[in-house]
Amino acid sequence: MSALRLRLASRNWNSLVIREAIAGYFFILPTLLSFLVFFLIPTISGFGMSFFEWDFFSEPEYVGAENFVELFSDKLFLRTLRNTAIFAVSATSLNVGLGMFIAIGINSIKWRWLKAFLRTSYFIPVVISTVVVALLFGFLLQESTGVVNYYFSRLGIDRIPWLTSSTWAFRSIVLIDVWKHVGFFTLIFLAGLQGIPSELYEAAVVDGAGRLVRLTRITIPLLTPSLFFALIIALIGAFQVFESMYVLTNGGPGDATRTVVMLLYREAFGSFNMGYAASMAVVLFVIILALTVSQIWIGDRWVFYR
Amino acid sequence: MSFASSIPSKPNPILLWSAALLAKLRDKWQTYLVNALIGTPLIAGALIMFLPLVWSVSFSFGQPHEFFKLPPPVIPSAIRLDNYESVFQRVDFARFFLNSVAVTACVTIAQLITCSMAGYAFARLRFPGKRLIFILFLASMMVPQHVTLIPVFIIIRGMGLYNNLGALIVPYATSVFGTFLLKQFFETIPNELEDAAKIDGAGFLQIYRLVMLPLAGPPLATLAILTFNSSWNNFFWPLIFINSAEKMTLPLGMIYLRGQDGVTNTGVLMAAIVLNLIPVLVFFMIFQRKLVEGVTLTGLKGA
Amino acid sequence: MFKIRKAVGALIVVLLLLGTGAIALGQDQVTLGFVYGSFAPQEKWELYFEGFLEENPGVTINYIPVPLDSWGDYTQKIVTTMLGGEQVDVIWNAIEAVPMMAERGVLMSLDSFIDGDPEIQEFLDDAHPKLLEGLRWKDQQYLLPFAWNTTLIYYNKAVLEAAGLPEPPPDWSWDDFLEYAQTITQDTDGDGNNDVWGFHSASWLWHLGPWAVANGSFFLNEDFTEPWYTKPETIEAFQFVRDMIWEHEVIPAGSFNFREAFVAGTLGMMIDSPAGRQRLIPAGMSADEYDVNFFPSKSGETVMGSQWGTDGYGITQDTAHPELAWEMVKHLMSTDVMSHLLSGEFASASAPARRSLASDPVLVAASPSNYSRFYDVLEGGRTVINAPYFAELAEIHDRYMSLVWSNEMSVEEAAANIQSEMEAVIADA
Repeated sequence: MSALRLRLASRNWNSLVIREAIAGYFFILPTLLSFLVFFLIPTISGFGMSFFEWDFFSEPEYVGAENFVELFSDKLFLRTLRNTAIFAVSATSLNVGLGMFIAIGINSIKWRWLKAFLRTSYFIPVVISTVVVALLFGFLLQESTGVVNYYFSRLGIDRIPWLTSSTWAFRSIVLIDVWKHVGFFTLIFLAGLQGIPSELYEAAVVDGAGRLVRLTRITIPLLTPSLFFALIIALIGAFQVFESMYVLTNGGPGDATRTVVMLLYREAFGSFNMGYAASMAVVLFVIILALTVSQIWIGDRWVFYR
Repeated sequence: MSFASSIPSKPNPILLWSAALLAKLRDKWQTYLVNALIGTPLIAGALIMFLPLVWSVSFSFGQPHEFFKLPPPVIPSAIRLDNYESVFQRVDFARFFLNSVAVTACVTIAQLITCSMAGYAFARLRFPGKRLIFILFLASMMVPQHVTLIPVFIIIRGMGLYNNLGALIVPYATSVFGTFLLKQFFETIPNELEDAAKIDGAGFLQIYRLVMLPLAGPPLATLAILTFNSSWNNFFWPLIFINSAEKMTLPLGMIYLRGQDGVTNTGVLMAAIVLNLIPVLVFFMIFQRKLVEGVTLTGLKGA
Repeated sequence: MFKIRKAVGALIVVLLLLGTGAIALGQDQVTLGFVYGSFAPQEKWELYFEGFLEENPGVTINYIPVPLDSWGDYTQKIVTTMLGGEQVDVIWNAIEAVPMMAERGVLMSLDSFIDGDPEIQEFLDDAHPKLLEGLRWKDQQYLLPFAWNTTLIYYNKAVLEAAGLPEPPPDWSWDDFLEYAQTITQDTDGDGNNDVWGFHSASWLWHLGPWAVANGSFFLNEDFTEPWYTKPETIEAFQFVRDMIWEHEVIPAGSFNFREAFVAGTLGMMIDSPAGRQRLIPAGMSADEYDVNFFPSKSGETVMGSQWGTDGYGITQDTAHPELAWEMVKHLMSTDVMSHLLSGEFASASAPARRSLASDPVLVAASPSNYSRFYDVLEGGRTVINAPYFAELAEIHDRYMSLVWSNEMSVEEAAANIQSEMEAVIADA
């Protein structure tokens, strides 16, 4: 085809190249404009804003790195950072770990109807909005009058303060997150499993490998690309968690379930400390960036590339 | 394998036949065992996924005094639609729904157009700065939207879109992720098709419209479904940019409904939850296969 | 051959259309932006402006309903609405927000309108002076009072009767109260879960304040410059309520839709306001099925102590039509408009600010027999916290009291923490 291209080009090289370039810019124009207006300019000014003190009513005042200094001596911010990190680690490992096991389980079931049923049931919560999920669990998990605790009490389990005690509120939020998202990760792993060539298993069977060996020597190594992808997605998402806490606990009791984004939202649109909120966003960005980059870097060592 | 090794070297036909039968039975039995062993916990897990939804449906028919009766009735004593009526009386639920439909439809259609356009350009056209722009686009996927939040608030205000459904549409009219998805797809289309169209005198717009778009059904469907899902469930953005009840979309409207503590009873909230679930589940049932394909596709691409 | 030019042309046309469309939306009439709490639908608010629009034919009202979860959030949403560029002229808001909105320069002082308009005198004479006083900040009137609220103990008569209890006397003590709550709380089917609960109190300011007032204390001193959390009376009062959850188990732990339970007859007593009476009507509970009583005191004498708050209407500093805005506020203060509060049909209806309406037959018919006790509390109670740092104080209170309510912190420790954090906030201001 290069010959054809060459012929076309030689006929009217200049105008064709220019026309193609114009066409190129035309086609990317909407995306590029939106990128500039809603991403690039805001990102740059967002970073800039983190060096100012500004409350929307008076003139912004340049304060250098003061916001950041204040941020790291702000007990509440450090608490929310810790909450967010613990949430991210626990939600990510449960979502990804359970998702992987469920996917392997579903994959090893032979009956197609059961497979389809399981895949559907685990995936349904993924499409429901987090707000609806949170409102629903807020009702089911009431301490004294809730449905879940009622059945637990019938089983002889003491009432659990699902949303009222600090430790349990945090756990409940993680569990609700897993309920909502585990299906998504299951699906990612199911896709990964479909990509494993069946010849590999057949060859292993011929070699006399048992189920466990096949699982640890073929399935899991060949799933590492999916695992890698799932980990990155899960961590980025978990660090920005906001909705379920906002709806269910509003950060409480105490500050047990307050996250960085909740604090950022309140600082920006509650107290109108725009510069301070912007500096929180910058810290969040740096954390996410560092985690992603280091995951990619470490990933080189353990992800199995074919 | 152990059974096979115990077979004597001089095979007896009857023994061989019975061994084959046994092996077959064992295989079948093993399948059942494995299915049961793995299936049982998985089915239990699936029930945990379903149960809250079942409860929401049964409670949505309940009367106030039933919510405090323990044990809670799993099957409602009667199918009453009072709670559903109340949802529409207490808040303008139909308005929330229409707002959600309008926003989601606009965002989805806009993204299908803009992403396929940009994807086509990045995949098939040469223009200066292409690589740099594309790399910048990709890098933006790593930045949390909260970094841009306050400046975007100021920009939206400047555009006069504050407290306007436009604030939920315009910033989402394009998508870097969608562009990436479509670019990957358009790169797989063989050059022959494009060159043939060029010889016939087709311009770039015609190639895009008549050659590229008709082929892009599957990735466009994927993009449409993923966009629908994220736009329909978007909460953070409306929380900041929408202040009045008449402009609310469903997720924000739900919080607002709950906020009317004194007025709202649990049955009404449950009915509203069910009303939220219905369109999403219908959508899910129709597009389930595509949705799975979509996540599969994006999942693989990510890896 | 190339259709790009055509496409670019089309794009420009679309953009131009969008632009002109936006400009065409501009109005030639006078429009007043009216911000209100969207707990009631717009039609209900439109009732308020019957007459006003006829008298002022060139005026239209732009209704801006803002979700009302808490006064802090509501006020913050109003400020963002205005920052977002919406024209707002008249605001409905509450006493808690007055100092914040005055200090931020959102609200305009109404004093010059009041001084220059003899027509308003009739309202000023009729409105309860405490309410007018409450909506002043630094000697300026920022809102005119419309409806006010306070809390008392509501009791469900049928539940009391089923437990064999007479209606409580006004001079009940903490011991009496606890006995009532304990008698009501029952596990009727013996499955280990209580089916009827005695009482409910959350850890919010609105629920806890009256207990402190009835014990001779409050959250802060009169001018809100000194926290009173560590006063023994405050701690003692909070301890009493806390113990009803964790020692006596007559208050269900955790969140709980208490009004629903009260209507359903699974909760005997709760804390609620005059507005609460109207919330019970749509739920199917009539005024003779429940009644109200004062908060009990430790020693058993009648204390008419609680905290009260009020809402009102004011004008923004942004207004382009201050005179019209003032006419609108004045119209809202008329007896006709305020009468909408009485029947209980209006969703938020609290008690009317005009004293002349307090004994209106419509109000009496929709209220329980002890309704006048709300007015007693207005005389003897404290105003809710109204200070520029209200939002911060509320947050500090919630942070620690929620831990007391989840049994993770003692009342003393929470009080000490709240005391020192509030002192810091007040010192900063």
